Amino acid sequence: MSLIDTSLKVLVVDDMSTMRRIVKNVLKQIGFSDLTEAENGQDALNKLKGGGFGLVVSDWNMPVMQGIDLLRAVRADPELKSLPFLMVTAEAQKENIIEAVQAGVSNYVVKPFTAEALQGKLEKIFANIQAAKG
Amino acid sequence: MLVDRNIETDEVETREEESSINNELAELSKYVEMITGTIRDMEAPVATTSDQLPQATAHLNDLAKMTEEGTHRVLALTEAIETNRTAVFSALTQLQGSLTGGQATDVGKVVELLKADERRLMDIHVALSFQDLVAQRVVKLVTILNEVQHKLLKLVVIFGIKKKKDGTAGKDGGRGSEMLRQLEASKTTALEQNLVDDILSEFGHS
Repeated sequence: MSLIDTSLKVLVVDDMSTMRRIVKNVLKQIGFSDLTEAENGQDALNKLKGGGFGLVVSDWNMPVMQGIDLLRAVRADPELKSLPFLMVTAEAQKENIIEAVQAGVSNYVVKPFTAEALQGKLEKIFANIQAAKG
Repeated sequence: MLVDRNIETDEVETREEESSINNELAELSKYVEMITGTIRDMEAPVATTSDQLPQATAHLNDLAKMTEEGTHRVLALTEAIETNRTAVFSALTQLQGSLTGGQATDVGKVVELLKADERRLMDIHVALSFQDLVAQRVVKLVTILNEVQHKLLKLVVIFGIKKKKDGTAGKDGGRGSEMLRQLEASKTTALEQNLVDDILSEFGHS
């Protein structure tokens, strides 16, 4: 029994159109249907402030506003701070992961990834949400 | 008498000093001539390289664009196959329900095969994420090449090998060096997902 709430509206953030398409297809296979795209952190933040989103899946390395800055902006916003935030990125140095954890990332997937890895991380995010609710 | 001898000694010393300076100047002159020759020899390769670098950058950008277009093409085709697979899967599942005995078993086997293809199609999709990694490396290479080009242009202008065409000043921010460092580091220090998970678990993330 999956804990993933596939009724949530998801924002997929990546500067590469191919990656947005790939991540969206994997999310569709998992069962999500309400999917929106953003090309960079600033674009994503503007869309998130419009409301209604329940999950962010974001790349790190993007022009205009990087994924890590988007994460910090989300955690600093009272309306968005509890939003689950999954980082999907090629930035896989130890310092990157520590920086993301300190900024409040919900989980972290390294590119190239598998569909199972992405699904597994989402399962863990939603399990943690359930556990926090008690 | 003593004064005459002193004057003679001074003259000898002065001549020796002059001779020494002349020898050093001759050496210096030879050195400058050698350096000038080396710079002259550099002229053609430096000028050619500074002309070729923009072409190399353009080729790299084209490479990223082509891999992006190719990836979208494969994605579109696999999406179309997945749409058909889903439709056939649904129709056969319905058909299986209306059949009995050996016929139902046979259709069930086909349904299972189609189910297995769902995973394979998704694996093809996800495998195409290589394009993103290629594009990121190309961006880093382009940045490095741009910096090398700026430095070469500076060299060209400093030694008067060739006047800059556009008159733009080279930016010496060291971003290319940083990109090169990242590119090199990523070969040896990029972490696999299991190592990432170990680090995450240290911070209480499973």
